[in-house]
Amino acid sequence: METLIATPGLTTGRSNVPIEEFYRHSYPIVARFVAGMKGTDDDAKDIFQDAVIIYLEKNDQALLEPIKDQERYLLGIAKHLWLKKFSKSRHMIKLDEFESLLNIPEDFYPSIRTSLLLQFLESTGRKCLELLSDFYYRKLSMKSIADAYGFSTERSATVQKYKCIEKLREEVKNKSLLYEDFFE
Amino acid sequence: MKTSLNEVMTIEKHLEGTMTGPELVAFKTKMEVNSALETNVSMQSRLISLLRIYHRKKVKYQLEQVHLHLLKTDFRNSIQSIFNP
Repeated sequence: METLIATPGLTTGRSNVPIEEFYRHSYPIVARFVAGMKGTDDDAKDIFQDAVIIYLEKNDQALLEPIKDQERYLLGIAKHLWLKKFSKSRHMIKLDEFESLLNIPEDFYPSIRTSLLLQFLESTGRKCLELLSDFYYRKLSMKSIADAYGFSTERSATVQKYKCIEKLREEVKNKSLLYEDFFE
Repeated sequence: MKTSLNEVMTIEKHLEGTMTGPELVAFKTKMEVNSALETNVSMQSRLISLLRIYHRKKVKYQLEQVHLHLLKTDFRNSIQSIFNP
């Protein structure tokens, strides 16, 4: 199995707990909540995985204030995700003070237009998407990117990064205009 | 490096918030009078947002692999007991 521990953005933050151990430990907490709401194991899986993604992002951003109580955070986010998915449950879920301060990123559920745009980029520029997401969101250094993508120097990798931005930016520009005709 | 790549770099610096002082003022002024530059800034910012969504898709896929792997272990029974006590 591809292990996630080797992926900088995918360890569980400063504690550096491998994601598999984290998953095994934390999933039942969210699963019990979902089961209590009469959800299915598929609902639990979906909500838990989305909560982990949000948790990892928040943990990366909160450099000065690491999230200490991972399980509490995950459960709080899971409740928000459940409410977003099944708003009829609103009267059945009480959020405590800590949980009510949590939120789901605004762009977490992309619009149809955004999904189509991304789908288009995946079909035309996957290599560039990989390289750029490794740089911006996995926070890999240009040295690591040069090694991973077979560039002889960091400088070549940097130039390629900018070429990729330029290429994808043009595609975003062209397609955005096209989608605006359809969706606005 | 080509002029257009220099522009990409400058916009990146602006979006990162690392542009300051006279450089920032000059860039903002340039954007005001150059609508093409303004569009490029907006599109580059949109691209960075799209990359975040792409990254999330990748993480979700990797989490799914972890889930599938764990289902081959005693984890399956412990989860089943939650949904079918």
